[in-house]
Amino acid sequence: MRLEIDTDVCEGHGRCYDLVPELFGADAAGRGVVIAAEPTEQRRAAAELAVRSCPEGAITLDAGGSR
Amino acid sequence: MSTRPAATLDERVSRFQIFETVTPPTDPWPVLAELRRERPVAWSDALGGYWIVSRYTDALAIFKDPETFSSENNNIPRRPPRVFGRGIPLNSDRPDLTFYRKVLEPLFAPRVLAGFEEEIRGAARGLLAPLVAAGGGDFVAAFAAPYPALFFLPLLGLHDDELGELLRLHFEILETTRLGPSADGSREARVDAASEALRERIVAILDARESMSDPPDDIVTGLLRARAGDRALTRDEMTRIIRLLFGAGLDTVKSTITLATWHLATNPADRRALAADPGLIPGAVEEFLRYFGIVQTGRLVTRDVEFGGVRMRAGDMVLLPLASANRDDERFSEPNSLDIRRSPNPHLGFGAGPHRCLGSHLARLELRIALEEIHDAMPDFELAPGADPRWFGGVIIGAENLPLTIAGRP
Repeated sequence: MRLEIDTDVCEGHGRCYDLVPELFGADAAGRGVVIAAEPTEQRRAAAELAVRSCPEGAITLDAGGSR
Repeated sequence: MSTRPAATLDERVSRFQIFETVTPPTDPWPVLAELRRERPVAWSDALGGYWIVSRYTDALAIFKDPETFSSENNNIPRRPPRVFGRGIPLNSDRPDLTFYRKVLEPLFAPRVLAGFEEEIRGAARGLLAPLVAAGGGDFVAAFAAPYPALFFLPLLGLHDDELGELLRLHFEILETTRLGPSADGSREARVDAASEALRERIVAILDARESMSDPPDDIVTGLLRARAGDRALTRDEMTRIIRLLFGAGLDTVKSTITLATWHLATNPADRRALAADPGLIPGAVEEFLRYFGIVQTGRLVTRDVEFGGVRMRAGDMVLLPLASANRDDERFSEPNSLDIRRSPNPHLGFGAGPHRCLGSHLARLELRIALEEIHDAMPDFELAPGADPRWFGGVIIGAENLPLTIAGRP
């Protein structure tokens, strides 16, 4: 699965890196950055939590490409 | 006992306005729940007329469409800029907004703020110690009001040796935000006088910086050095930014920590849970931000537009009560219960879109540290006997006082 942040949609709420620091970090302006773009299956729940916690809907988890 | 016919929804909507007293803050304006169900975009004739947008998805759509819904004026009724001109970046539109956010966001980024954690913690401890030693007192005066100011005002170049005077100016500058416009202009005159006094201080700060060889590492210096491409901030822009930060950075945190502490004083199970496991505090902070939704902001419609089944016209004002969007049961299960373990919690307590609260990371840090220190210094507290907190509505919901009794350590 593939984890992405749409940088045109992210406004820097920081929910992703506060909640799931193992998958997300912050840039110098406080916008979210993916640090593990292809998380392991073990991290699926954490990735989904970030997706559902983003007020802007900026994070997508592409389930395709079974690994 | 006489009975009167129940007011219709139209009548209840026309009576509603954010400046009426809220009692209690657990459900500040019950009419908003009705509007979410029955009339998600409603017209009110109060305060010169405006739309009330009560649902989460509609509020989010408006926040994310600043071209149609401008922040040029957030106030209902519309208020022309007075002493300082429009607030920056609150009342800025693109493309200026993009520039302002680009230079301001790095000053409020988590990695910068992390370096201030011990300083903020020290401020919290210093304020809590006398309150605990006295066995209680008014939490608002003793902690909630000075706490955000002690750390933040020096970052704006304002000196904490005149903290009381600065808090008074802050309180007066927000008078119309808190109480609404006055018929005789007296509130506006007080806002202008306080704004003028603040402007003199800001001008003096900027003057002093020009001759300083080793300026302090604070927000003022950050503004003076800020560049995006070859554009720097003008002196007038810096003045309006500092004024905006002064107005936005104190009352918001004061209200949220007051309401959170009120909840904990009246819900001992949650208080004990946070005291026993401080790891729950960050999630609880998010839930306080959702549940109390203290900010009731607005937008100016820039063009005729169909929205939510109504026809809005250029020049209309729209009220976005976050206390309503954050209680939308289409988005949150059991939205009227405060659940410190709620997850996920995509609340709009800081708004959304390009005007997302610039200080949100600072607010979160201040709220987390405050709650950690409160539970450390005073694990057992409750409302003082006969306590009667006075709640107020307005653009920022809050309380004038919160009398607490603090138990000694067992």
